[in-house]
Amino acid sequence: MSSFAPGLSFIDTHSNADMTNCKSFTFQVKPDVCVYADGASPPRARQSSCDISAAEVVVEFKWEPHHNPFHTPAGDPGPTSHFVSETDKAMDTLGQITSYTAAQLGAQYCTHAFSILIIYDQAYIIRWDREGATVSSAIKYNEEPHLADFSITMHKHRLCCVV
Amino acid sequence: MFPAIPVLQVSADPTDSDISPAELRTPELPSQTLVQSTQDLQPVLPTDSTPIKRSCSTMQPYTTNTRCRDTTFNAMGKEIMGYLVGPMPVELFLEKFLSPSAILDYQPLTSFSDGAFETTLSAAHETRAYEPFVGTFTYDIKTVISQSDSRCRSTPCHLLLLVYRLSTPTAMRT
Repeated sequence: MSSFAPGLSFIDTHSNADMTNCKSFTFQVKPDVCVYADGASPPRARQSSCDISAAEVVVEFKWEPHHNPFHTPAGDPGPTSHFVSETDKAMDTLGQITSYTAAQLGAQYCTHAFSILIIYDQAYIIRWDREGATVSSAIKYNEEPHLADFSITMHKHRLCCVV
Repeated sequence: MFPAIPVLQVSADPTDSDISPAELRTPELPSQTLVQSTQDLQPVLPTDSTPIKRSCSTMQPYTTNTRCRDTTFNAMGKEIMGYLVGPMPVELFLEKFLSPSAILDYQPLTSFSDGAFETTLSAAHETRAYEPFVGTFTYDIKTVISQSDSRCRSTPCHLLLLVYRLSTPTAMRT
Protein backbone atom coordinates (compact mmCIF):
# COMPACT_ATOMS: atom_id res chain seq x y z
CA MET A 1 0.00 0.00 0.00
CA SER A 2 1.61 3.26 -1.07
CA SER A 3 0.90 6.65 0.37
CA PHE A 4 -0.20 9.62 -1.65
CA ALA A 5 2.56 11.67 -0.10
CA PRO A 6 5.65 9.67 0.84
CA GLY A 7 8.16 11.81 2.69
CA LEU A 8 5.75 14.68 3.19
CA SER A 9 3.69 15.90 6.12
CA PHE A 10 0.51 17.83 5.58
CA ILE A 11 -0.15 20.22 8.46
CA ASP A 12 -3.33 22.20 9.04
CA THR A 13 -2.07 25.75 9.65
CA HIS A 14 -5.18 27.78 8.94
CA SER A 15 -5.34 29.32 12.39
CA ASN A 16 -1.63 29.81 12.97
CA ALA A 17 0.17 32.54 11.14
CA ASP A 18 3.90 32.57 10.55
CA MET A 19 5.10 35.10 13.10
CA THR A 20 8.78 34.24 12.73
CA ASN A 21 9.60 34.86 9.10
CA CYS A 22 6.93 37.38 8.19
CA LYS A 23 7.14 40.02 10.89
CA SER A 24 7.66 42.83 8.41
CA PHE A 25 4.65 41.96 6.31
CA THR A 26 1.58 44.16 6.47
CA PHE A 27 -0.61 41.07 6.56
CA GLN A 28 -0.47 37.68 8.19
CA VAL A 29 0.93 34.76 6.25
CA LYS A 30 -1.46 32.02 7.23
CA PRO A 31 -1.95 29.32 4.58
CA ASP A 32 -4.68 26.77 5.19
CA VAL A 33 -2.37 23.78 4.82
CA CYS A 34 1.41 23.66 4.70
CA VAL A 35 3.29 20.69 3.33
CA TYR A 36 6.67 19.96 4.91
CA ALA A 37 9.33 17.42 4.08
CA ASP A 38 9.69 14.69 6.65
CA GLY A 39 12.84 14.91 8.67
CA ALA A 40 14.33 17.84 6.82
CA SER A 41 12.31 20.63 8.34
CA PRO A 42 13.23 22.70 11.37
CA PRO A 43 11.67 21.67 14.67
CA ARG A 44 9.24 24.54 14.65
CA ALA A 45 7.66 23.19 11.48
CA ARG A 46 6.50 20.16 13.40
CA GLN A 47 4.24 22.35 15.44
CA SER A 48 0.91 23.39 14.10
CA SER A 49 2.19 26.90 13.51
CA CYS A 50 3.13 27.90 10.02
CA ASP A 51 6.79 28.01 9.09
CA ILE A 52 6.95 29.35 5.58
CA SER A 53 10.72 28.98 5.42
CA ALA A 54 10.40 25.20 5.66
CA ALA A 55 7.24 24.69 3.62
CA GLU A 56 7.51 22.68 0.44
CA VAL A 57 4.06 23.50 -0.83
CA VAL A 58 1.35 25.85 0.35
CA VAL A 59 -2.29 24.85 -0.07
CA GLU A 60 -5.08 27.40 -0.04
CA PHE A 61 -8.75 26.50 0.10
CA LYS A 62 -11.75 28.40 -1.18
CA TRP A 63 -15.15 26.85 -0.91
CA GLU A 64 -17.13 29.38 -2.94
CA PRO A 65 -16.92 29.28 -6.74
CA HIS A 66 -16.85 33.05 -7.06
CA HIS A 67 -13.49 33.11 -5.29
CA ASN A 68 -11.98 31.20 -8.17
CA PRO A 69 -9.50 33.44 -10.00
CA PHE A 70 -9.23 31.08 -12.96
CA HIS A 71 -11.71 29.88 -15.49
CA THR A 72 -11.37 27.61 -18.45
CA PRO A 73 -11.69 29.54 -21.70
CA ALA A 74 -14.29 28.36 -24.14
CA GLY A 75 -12.91 26.19 -26.91
CA ASP A 76 -9.29 25.23 -27.08
CA PRO A 77 -7.27 27.19 -24.54
CA GLY A 78 -4.48 28.93 -26.38
CA PRO A 79 -1.39 30.56 -24.94
CA THR A 80 -2.91 34.00 -25.26
CA SER A 81 -6.41 33.18 -24.08
CA HIS A 82 -7.67 35.11 -21.09
CA PHE A 83 -8.31 32.78 -18.19
CA VAL A 84 -8.09 35.07 -15.16
CA SER A 85 -11.30 36.41 -13.66
CA GLU A 86 -11.09 40.08 -12.80
CA THR A 87 -13.73 40.24 -10.10
CA ASP A 88 -12.82 41.64 -6.70
CA LYS A 89 -13.09 38.26 -4.98
CA ALA A 90 -10.97 36.63 -7.65
CA MET A 91 -8.32 39.31 -7.26
CA ASP A 92 -8.38 38.82 -3.50
CA THR A 93 -7.70 35.12 -3.92
CA LEU A 94 -5.02 35.69 -6.51
CA GLY A 95 -3.29 38.24 -4.32
CA GLN A 96 -3.52 35.97 -1.31
CA ILE A 97 -1.79 33.02 -2.97
CA THR A 98 0.72 35.42 -4.50
CA SER A 99 1.58 36.81 -1.09
CA TYR A 100 2.12 33.35 0.38
CA THR A 101 4.44 32.39 -2.44
CA ALA A 102 6.28 35.69 -2.18
CA ALA A 103 6.85 34.96 1.50
CA GLN A 104 7.97 31.42 0.73
CA LEU A 105 10.39 32.34 -2.04
CA GLY A 106 11.66 35.23 0.04
CA ALA A 107 12.57 32.85 2.86
CA GLN A 108 14.02 30.02 0.79
CA TYR A 109 16.82 29.73 -1.74
CA CYS A 110 14.73 28.33 -4.59
CA THR A 111 14.36 29.22 -8.23
CA HIS A 112 10.70 28.27 -8.16
CA ALA A 113 7.94 27.02 -5.93
CA PHE A 114 4.68 25.16 -6.28
CA SER A 115 1.41 25.94 -4.63
CA ILE A 116 -2.04 24.41 -4.75
CA LEU A 117 -5.30 26.28 -4.92
CA ILE A 118 -8.42 24.29 -4.14
CA ILE A 119 -11.80 25.63 -5.16
CA TYR A 120 -14.19 23.09 -3.65
CA ASP A 121 -13.94 20.12 -6.01
CA GLN A 122 -11.31 21.57 -8.32
CA ALA A 123 -7.61 21.98 -7.72
CA TYR A 124 -5.03 24.04 -9.56
CA ILE A 125 -1.31 23.44 -9.34
CA ILE A 126 0.68 26.63 -9.80
CA ARG A 127 4.37 26.90 -10.51
CA TRP A 128 5.88 30.24 -9.52
CA ASP A 129 9.20 31.56 -10.72
CA ARG A 130 10.88 34.91 -11.28
CA GLU A 131 8.92 35.55 -14.46
CA GLY A 132 5.48 34.87 -13.09
CA ALA A 133 3.42 31.74 -12.72
CA THR A 134 2.17 28.84 -14.79
CA VAL A 135 -1.25 27.54 -13.86
CA SER A 136 -2.38 24.02 -14.58
CA SER A 137 -5.81 23.22 -15.86
CA ALA A 138 -8.46 22.44 -13.27
CA ILE A 139 -8.15 19.04 -11.63
CA LYS A 140 -11.19 17.19 -10.34
CA TYR A 141 -9.09 15.85 -7.54
CA ASN A 142 -11.69 13.45 -6.19
CA GLU A 143 -11.90 11.71 -9.55
CA GLU A 144 -8.51 12.25 -11.16
CA PRO A 145 -5.16 11.13 -9.72
CA HIS A 146 -3.18 14.19 -10.81
CA LEU A 147 -3.12 15.89 -7.42
CA ALA A 148 -1.98 12.69 -5.77
CA ASP A 149 0.55 12.22 -8.58
CA PHE A 150 1.84 15.70 -7.93
CA SER A 151 2.38 15.05 -4.25
CA ILE A 152 4.35 11.90 -5.03
CA THR A 153 6.57 13.31 -7.75
CA MET A 154 7.08 16.76 -6.28
CA HIS A 155 9.06 15.71 -3.25
CA LYS A 156 11.07 13.03 -5.05
CA HIS A 157 11.82 15.45 -7.85
CA ARG A 158 13.10 17.95 -5.36
CA LEU A 159 15.36 15.34 -3.82
CA CYS A 160 16.76 14.25 -7.17
CA CYS A 161 17.11 17.61 -8.85
CA VAL A 162 18.84 20.77 -7.81
CA VAL A 163 16.26 23.50 -7.78
CA MET B 1 65.13 69.89 -40.35
CA PHE B 2 62.49 70.41 -37.68
CA PRO B 3 58.79 70.90 -38.51
CA ALA B 4 57.51 74.39 -38.12
CA ILE B 5 55.69 74.99 -34.81
CA PRO B 6 52.50 76.99 -35.24
CA VAL B 7 52.55 80.13 -33.21
CA LEU B 8 49.34 81.22 -31.51
CA GLN B 9 48.72 84.83 -32.09
CA VAL B 10 47.27 86.48 -28.94
CA SER B 11 45.64 89.80 -29.27
CA ALA B 12 47.06 92.39 -26.95
CA ASP B 13 44.32 94.87 -27.61
CA PRO B 14 43.71 96.80 -24.33
CA THR B 15 39.96 96.99 -25.04
CA ASP B 16 39.54 93.21 -24.60
CA SER B 17 41.23 92.99 -21.17
CA ASP B 18 38.05 93.86 -19.19
CA ILE B 19 36.02 90.91 -20.61
CA SER B 20 36.58 87.49 -19.09
CA PRO B 21 37.02 84.47 -21.37
CA ALA B 22 33.73 82.91 -20.07
CA GLU B 23 31.79 85.92 -21.09
CA LEU B 24 33.35 85.70 -24.49
CA ARG B 25 32.15 82.09 -24.95
CA THR B 26 28.68 82.49 -23.49
CA PRO B 27 26.33 84.45 -25.65
CA GLU B 28 24.07 86.80 -23.82
CA LEU B 29 20.54 85.44 -23.72
CA PRO B 30 17.54 87.63 -24.03
CA SER B 31 16.02 88.48 -20.66
CA GLN B 32 12.63 87.02 -21.63
CA THR B 33 14.13 83.53 -22.10
CA LEU B 34 15.73 83.61 -18.66
CA VAL B 35 12.45 84.38 -16.98
CA GLN B 36 10.71 81.46 -18.66
CA SER B 37 13.36 78.92 -17.64
CA THR B 38 13.24 80.10 -14.02
CA GLN B 39 9.51 79.46 -13.94
CA ASP B 40 10.00 75.92 -15.25
CA LEU B 41 12.38 75.07 -12.43
CA GLN B 42 9.94 75.93 -9.68
CA PRO B 43 8.33 72.89 -7.92
CA VAL B 44 5.01 71.88 -9.36
CA LEU B 45 2.28 70.77 -7.00
CA PRO B 46 0.57 67.42 -7.82
CA THR B 47 -2.41 67.82 -10.03
CA ASP B 48 -5.31 65.54 -10.83
CA SER B 49 -3.59 64.31 -13.94
CA THR B 50 -0.76 62.75 -11.97
CA PRO B 51 -1.38 58.98 -11.72
CA ILE B 52 -1.30 57.58 -8.21
CA LYS B 53 0.46 54.25 -7.87
CA ARG B 54 -1.75 51.87 -6.01
CA SER B 55 0.43 48.82 -5.72
CA CYS B 56 0.73 46.62 -2.67
CA SER B 57 3.92 48.31 -1.54
CA THR B 58 2.20 51.65 -1.15
CA MET B 59 -0.90 50.50 0.69
CA GLN B 60 -0.28 52.10 4.03
CA PRO B 61 2.52 49.90 5.32
CA TYR B 62 2.39 51.40 8.82
CA THR B 63 -0.89 50.05 9.98
CA THR B 64 -2.32 46.90 11.51
CA ASN B 65 -2.06 43.54 9.83
CA THR B 66 -5.75 43.11 9.32
CA ARG B 67 -7.04 46.53 8.34
CA CYS B 68 -5.47 46.65 4.90
CA ARG B 69 -5.26 42.91 4.32
CA ASP B 70 -7.94 42.70 1.66
CA THR B 71 -6.90 45.85 -0.15
CA THR B 72 -3.30 44.68 -0.18
CA PHE B 73 -4.27 41.28 -1.53
CA ASN B 74 -6.48 42.88 -4.14
CA ALA B 75 -3.69 45.15 -5.32
CA MET B 76 -1.28 42.24 -5.35
CA GLY B 77 -3.68 40.18 -7.43
CA LYS B 78 -3.96 42.93 -10.00
CA GLU B 79 -0.18 43.22 -10.14
CA ILE B 80 0.45 39.51 -10.75
CA MET B 81 -2.44 39.09 -13.18
CA GLY B 82 -0.35 40.05 -16.17
CA TYR B 83 2.34 37.54 -15.33
CA LEU B 84 0.22 34.40 -15.38
CA VAL B 85 0.08 31.87 -18.17
CA GLY B 86 -2.29 28.97 -18.49
CA PRO B 87 -4.31 26.93 -18.16
CA MET B 88 -1.74 24.32 -19.04
CA PRO B 89 -3.14 20.78 -19.42
CA VAL B 90 -2.26 19.07 -16.17
CA GLU B 91 -0.72 16.00 -17.81
CA LEU B 92 1.60 18.26 -19.78
CA PHE B 93 2.24 20.37 -16.67
CA LEU B 94 3.39 17.37 -14.64
CA GLU B 95 5.47 16.02 -17.51
CA LYS B 96 7.13 19.37 -18.12
CA PHE B 97 7.88 20.48 -14.57
CA LEU B 98 7.92 17.19 -12.63
CA SER B 99 9.01 14.66 -15.16
CA PRO B 100 9.10 11.11 -13.71
CA SER B 101 12.12 10.37 -15.89
CA ALA B 102 14.21 12.58 -13.60
CA ILE B 103 13.35 10.44 -10.57
CA LEU B 104 15.58 7.46 -10.02
CA ASP B 105 13.23 5.16 -8.12
CA TYR B 106 9.95 6.44 -9.46
CA GLN B 107 6.97 4.24 -8.78
CA PRO B 108 3.70 5.30 -10.34
CA LEU B 109 0.73 5.84 -8.10
CA THR B 110 -1.41 2.75 -7.83
CA SER B 111 -3.46 3.34 -4.72
CA PHE B 112 -5.64 6.19 -5.93
CA SER B 113 -9.28 5.34 -6.19
CA ASP B 114 -12.20 7.38 -7.32
CA GLY B 115 -13.73 9.13 -4.32
CA ALA B 116 -10.53 9.29 -2.29
CA PHE B 117 -11.36 12.85 -1.23
CA GLU B 118 -15.04 12.26 -0.57
CA THR B 119 -14.74 13.23 3.07
CA THR B 120 -13.11 16.51 2.09
CA LEU B 121 -15.89 17.37 -0.32
CA SER B 122 -18.55 16.47 2.21
CA ALA B 123 -17.45 19.32 4.47
CA ALA B 124 -20.15 21.93 4.68
CA HIS B 125 -17.74 24.75 5.34
CA GLU B 126 -14.24 25.46 4.13
CA THR B 127 -12.69 25.33 7.58
CA ARG B 128 -14.01 21.81 8.08
CA ALA B 129 -12.35 20.58 4.91
CA TYR B 130 -8.76 21.01 6.08
CA GLU B 131 -8.67 18.10 8.47
CA PRO B 132 -10.08 15.43 6.12
CA PHE B 133 -7.88 16.75 3.33
CA VAL B 134 -4.79 16.43 5.49
CA GLY B 135 -6.03 13.04 6.65
CA THR B 136 -6.19 11.75 3.09
CA PHE B 137 -2.44 12.19 2.83
CA THR B 138 -1.74 10.76 6.25
CA TYR B 139 -2.06 7.23 7.56
CA ASP B 140 -3.20 6.06 10.92
CA ILE B 141 -1.91 2.73 12.06
CA LYS B 142 -4.14 0.80 14.40
CA THR B 143 -2.90 -2.25 16.18
CA VAL B 144 -5.38 -4.89 17.13
CA ILE B 145 -4.68 -8.00 19.13
CA SER B 146 -6.91 -10.66 17.76
CA GLN B 147 -7.07 -14.42 17.95
CA SER B 148 -10.30 -15.08 16.17
CA ASP B 149 -10.26 -12.71 13.28
CA SER B 150 -11.79 -14.13 10.13
CA ARG B 151 -8.88 -12.79 8.11
CA CYS B 152 -6.47 -15.07 9.92
CA ARG B 153 -7.96 -18.49 9.20
CA SER B 154 -5.00 -19.98 7.40
CA THR B 155 -2.34 -19.07 9.94
CA PRO B 156 -2.60 -18.29 13.60
CA CYS B 157 -2.66 -14.58 14.05
CA HIS B 158 -2.32 -12.64 17.24
CA LEU B 159 -1.32 -9.24 16.03
CA LEU B 160 -3.19 -7.44 13.37
CA LEU B 161 -1.96 -4.21 11.91
CA LEU B 162 -4.61 -2.12 10.29
CA VAL B 163 -3.70 0.90 8.23
CA TYR B 164 -6.30 3.53 7.54
CA ARG B 165 -6.17 6.93 6.05
CA LEU B 166 -6.97 9.54 8.69
CA SER B 167 -9.87 10.67 6.56
CA THR B 168 -11.54 7.26 6.95
CA PRO B 169 -14.52 7.66 9.28
CA THR B 170 -14.17 5.89 12.60
CA ALA B 171 -17.27 3.82 11.97
CA MET B 172 -15.64 2.31 8.90
CA ARG B 173 -12.46 1.32 10.73
CA THR B 174 -13.43 -2.26 11.44
